[in-house]
Amino acid sequence: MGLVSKLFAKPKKKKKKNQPATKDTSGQASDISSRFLNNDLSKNLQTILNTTGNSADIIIRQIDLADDPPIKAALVMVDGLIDDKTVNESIIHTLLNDYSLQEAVSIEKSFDYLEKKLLPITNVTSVYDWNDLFGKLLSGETIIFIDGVEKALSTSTRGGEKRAVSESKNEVSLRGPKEAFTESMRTNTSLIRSRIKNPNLWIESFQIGKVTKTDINVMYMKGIANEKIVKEVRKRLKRIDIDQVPDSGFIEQLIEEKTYTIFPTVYHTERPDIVAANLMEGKIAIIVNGSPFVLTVPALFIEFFQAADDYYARFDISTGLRFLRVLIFFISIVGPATYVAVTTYHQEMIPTLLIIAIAAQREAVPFPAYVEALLMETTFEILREAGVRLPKAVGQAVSIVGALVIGQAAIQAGIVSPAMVIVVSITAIANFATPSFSMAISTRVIRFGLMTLAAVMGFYGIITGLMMMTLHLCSLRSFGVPYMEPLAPLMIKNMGDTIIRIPLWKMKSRPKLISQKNIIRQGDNQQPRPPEDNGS
Amino acid sequence: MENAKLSSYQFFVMILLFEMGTSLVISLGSNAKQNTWFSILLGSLIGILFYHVNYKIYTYYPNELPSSYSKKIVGKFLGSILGYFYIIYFTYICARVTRDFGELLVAVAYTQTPLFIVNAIMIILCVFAVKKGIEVIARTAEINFALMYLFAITGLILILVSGLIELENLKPVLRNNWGTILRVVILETAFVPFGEMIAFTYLFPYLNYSKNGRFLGSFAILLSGINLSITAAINVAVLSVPLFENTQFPLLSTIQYISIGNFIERLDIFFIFAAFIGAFFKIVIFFYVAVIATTDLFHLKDHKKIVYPFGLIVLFLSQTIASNYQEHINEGLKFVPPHIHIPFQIGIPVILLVIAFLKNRKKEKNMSKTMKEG
Amino acid sequence: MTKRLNLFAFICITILLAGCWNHRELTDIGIIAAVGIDYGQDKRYNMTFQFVNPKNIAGNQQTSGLSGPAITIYESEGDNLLEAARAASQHVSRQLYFAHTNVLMIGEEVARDGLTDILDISIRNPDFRPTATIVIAKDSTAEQILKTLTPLDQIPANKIDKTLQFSESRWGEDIHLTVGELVPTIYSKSKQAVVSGFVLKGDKEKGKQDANIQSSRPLAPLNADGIGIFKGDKLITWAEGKTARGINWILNNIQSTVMAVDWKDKKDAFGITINLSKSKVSANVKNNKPHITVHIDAEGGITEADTFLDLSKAEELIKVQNALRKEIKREIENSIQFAQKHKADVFGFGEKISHVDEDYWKKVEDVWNEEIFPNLEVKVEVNAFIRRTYLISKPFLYEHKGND
Repeated sequence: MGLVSKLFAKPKKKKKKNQPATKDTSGQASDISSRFLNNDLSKNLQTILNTTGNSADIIIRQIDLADDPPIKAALVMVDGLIDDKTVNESIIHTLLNDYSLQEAVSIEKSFDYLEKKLLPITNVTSVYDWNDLFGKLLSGETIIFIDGVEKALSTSTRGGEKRAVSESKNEVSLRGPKEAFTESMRTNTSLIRSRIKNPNLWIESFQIGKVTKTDINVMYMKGIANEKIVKEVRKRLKRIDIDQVPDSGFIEQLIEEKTYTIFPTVYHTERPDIVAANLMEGKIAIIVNGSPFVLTVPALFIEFFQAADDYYARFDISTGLRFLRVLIFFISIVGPATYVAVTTYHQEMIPTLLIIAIAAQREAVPFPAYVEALLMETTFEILREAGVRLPKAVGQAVSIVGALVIGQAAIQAGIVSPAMVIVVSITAIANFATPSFSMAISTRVIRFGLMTLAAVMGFYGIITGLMMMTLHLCSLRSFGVPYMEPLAPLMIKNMGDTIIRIPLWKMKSRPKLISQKNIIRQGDNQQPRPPEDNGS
Repeated sequence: MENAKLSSYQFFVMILLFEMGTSLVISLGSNAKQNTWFSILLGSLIGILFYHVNYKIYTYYPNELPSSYSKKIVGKFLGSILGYFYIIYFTYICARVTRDFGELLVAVAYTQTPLFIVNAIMIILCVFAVKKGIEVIARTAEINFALMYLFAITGLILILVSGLIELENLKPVLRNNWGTILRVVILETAFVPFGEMIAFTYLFPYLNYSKNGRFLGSFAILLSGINLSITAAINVAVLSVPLFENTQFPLLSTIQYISIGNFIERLDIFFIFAAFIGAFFKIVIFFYVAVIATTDLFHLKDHKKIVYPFGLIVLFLSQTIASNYQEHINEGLKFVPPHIHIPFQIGIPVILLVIAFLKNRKKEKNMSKTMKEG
Repeated sequence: MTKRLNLFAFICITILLAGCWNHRELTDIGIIAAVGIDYGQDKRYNMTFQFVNPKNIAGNQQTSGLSGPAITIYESEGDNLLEAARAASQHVSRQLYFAHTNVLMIGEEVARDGLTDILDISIRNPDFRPTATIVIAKDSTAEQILKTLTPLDQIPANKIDKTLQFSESRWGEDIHLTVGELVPTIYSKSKQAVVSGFVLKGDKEKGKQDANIQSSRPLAPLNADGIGIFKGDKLITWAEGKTARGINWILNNIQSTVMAVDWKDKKDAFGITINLSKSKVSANVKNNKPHITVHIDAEGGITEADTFLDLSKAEELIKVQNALRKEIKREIENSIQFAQKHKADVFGFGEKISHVDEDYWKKVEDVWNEEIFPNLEVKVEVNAFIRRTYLISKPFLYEHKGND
């Protein structure tokens, strides 16, 4: 198993850990004599300045709250992360004007006064220790220190520049909502919340990344999601010991079931409607701050062949499209391999006229079929990579011209044969048609493996390769759920939403292995009927 | 024994694929000429009988592998010897089927490739599969079953549309041929492939609802018997008796005749696909059973460690059991069934059943006696 | 971990480096469209291979301008067929590839001597397809026929194949037989084999050159002609014209054909296109005597009328229908007599007897062809129907012909 799984290994990105000298990579504790706040304001402020190295974007606003007795206060915030309007109007204005309207309050009571009676801010919390304080400060909250009080008040004034909610560029749907996630975690959770207005939609929060302290939210429907899977997700997230989390891709790689596999076991998407639907099926969503891609677990093989549009269109079209996708999948893995196998081992398979035509083409080509296929495929991959990096203005033109010119010129130069170009193009198009990006990447890798097998043993090699792939797929599990469910182990009740898609009113139950209880999701008799009096 | 559970459907599908195995593609029971289909059906009925014998023994010792319950039945020493011989038996049959499949590929498509390479690739695949465990094999069986049936139905439709079937070739039906038919059944079809269900006695403990085991097995054997006999009937109808008798791979010859609209022809590749799937499951199940039996008999912790050596053994055995294909076939038809299949597939199980039955009756008698006294 | 990697690398290298034995590039194989078998010197086999020249097939983008014939012929001699085939590798720069050989042509001399050698290699060798058409070269050698270029088909083998197919389905005097269909009948005692023949007329020398296809009328046309009757595996005689068609009537090979019926004193007055034909042969054995009944169901319509008859009346139509029946029956009886004369049961009557009464058959199978078949009484029943006269009913043009 280990041997051949290596064939399917996806290189695991190992993050270099920071210098092992500082085990505690936060780097803050070394500068602070104690973990907790001091009651001396100037000392606190000094600590802040020292720790942040006098960073230019830290703003310290000193305020006198009262003169008699003198109560000094200071506001600490990070420029750019705060919402200036809120800070100015709700905090500074209030503190400067409204505080003095009150009776004199002692220093000890001032804190409570601010917290409970004065500040018109949605969220205020008390902060006692430096780790917590810096976490909040650097998230865009305004910290209010009062001289003589050993705690600080953290007010939520998060703002800053964010991308607006726009259309999804990668997962386009013709019918269906067009919103896409942004990099702000709170916006993302709000997009989901607005679709599932149910108090049972629970969110748990984690902070992952020792240095970056990235916020992660885990969402699931209590009562529908499988508790065991939720526990497993928690366990794996807690186990992550890494210094930065720039994107949900990191999380995906660290919690996935099995590294040495080509196939993705975690699903990611940019669209809130898909996430909401998945949550309703009992899956668990993981939202990472700073990443517009939300992960859902557990992910099954079939999911990577489903697109959002399938559910919004009628069942007959959707079923047809799904069949097409299975065909597409096969073409994209087996295409070039079949061409190589047929032209070098099994020439009897093709009708006579075709073999004569292909033979004529190949007379001019100096390479054996396998080398030709490899060349073309590699060229195509290069073209594709280039296409990703080209600026938009030039991109379209260059890729079309490149493909045409290179393809045509290569044929006429006698380097490749036209049949090969056709095969590679069809395979590439089939690859683009795969709904999920992770699955498309997987097929690219598999395709090369199968091509090699075809060159070695013809169709027998291809069949062996496919069987190996099937065995591997059947051994995968995603968070405990067999990857190939509901195809294997066969669960007829859940087959309504796989390659076929039965009419909506028939999909009565949720997938069983994912959500154990709460299976029924629709009442009976949902089939639409004409009105009883038939419109007369 | 592995910590795995098979669902009823998985069990059913595995039996089906296993039974159809290579028998779909080689000439099964072709000595009965145009009545081959009938001898296959009869063979399957006898196979069901064998299956019931084995299952009955299992009911006396639920959740146990044969190597452990045979120790209980005939005592530790004899039971271990029996277990040991069964391991050798399964390994031998595994090597036979591998050889069968390898010869088929070499004769049909890969004429210049050495047999060793073809067999080696199959064995590597099986090693890979067995290391993953029986659950993975079962799930793969589910997927492959759907594929196999898809091919079968497509093939059937194509043959029908080609107009190749001449029902005349099946006549005379069941006349004057009973001697041959019965001889074929008793000497050939009952044992290969239907008697080979003995391998599944090592898989009974994995079935999760064991009450269904009897019904599932019988139904699967019957269904596979029907499939095989339909295939044989079609082969005779398309090829006519003399060609059918003499060709090594009747299904291949039939498929080679399909020609629709001058375009859909040369479908040999589907034949190879079907042969591959069938052969793979037969080999992998025998392989797995041999490995599990060894693990159980020698009280090893994990079956994964001995898989590689077993693979090598089967590979080399498949090379050495016969020096040419005719010898291999003749051995399989003339020598193996009476001398090897009969004792292993039915002789020993019957004896075990009788002893187990007597033992358990005594136990029951004792139990009821003590209950009466108590 | 490293151990596993090493083992894996070892396996990979062994498999990949050792080479792929069955690997054949398309440029290494010579696609043979047709194979011809004749006798060479001293009764050794002389095989002719019609290689396809892919570069010269029109419609191909890769043609570099040089055009020549689309096929190339190579010959080779050997003591048996396999030897001859492999010996050809001395002449040809390619591996011989038979999987696309659609025509197997056998010289008449070889056919008269026996086909068994040839058929054995064609069904045993996995390269050779059983769907290849088998043809006998009549009055010439296979080599001569295969060397002829044909105008309409770039690959002459295609012409042979297609001609037989269309002739079988539209005219009915030839049989399109594949090797697979021939094999069971070659050594069967209950049914003798029949194979179509091809004949080369005209200037045989010019036929090999481009000149043959440059002129509007081919100088050496290739025709399908007659059906060869076999006894066992040896060709004994040729059935031609209507006799051949009669054989096809009984063998249920007629799909569509044209019958000409005499009327009064006009010969071939009516042309009737038969659209549907089904034949059924039934047999029974009474008192140790076999009886065969051939029953033909046919349907057709009048597509040509060369004399006047009021076809708009149903009774007149029935008269023509009866004439048709008689004509068909006559054809069939003629061919049965022909086969009986040559003591070869090509119709499969023996096979039918064996299905019905196996014991009787077992007693007589050895003498069937020689003694019993030639004296067999065969009852022929023809149920032919004329269903329509197509676009016009009365051939009114003839009504007034006599008045000129």
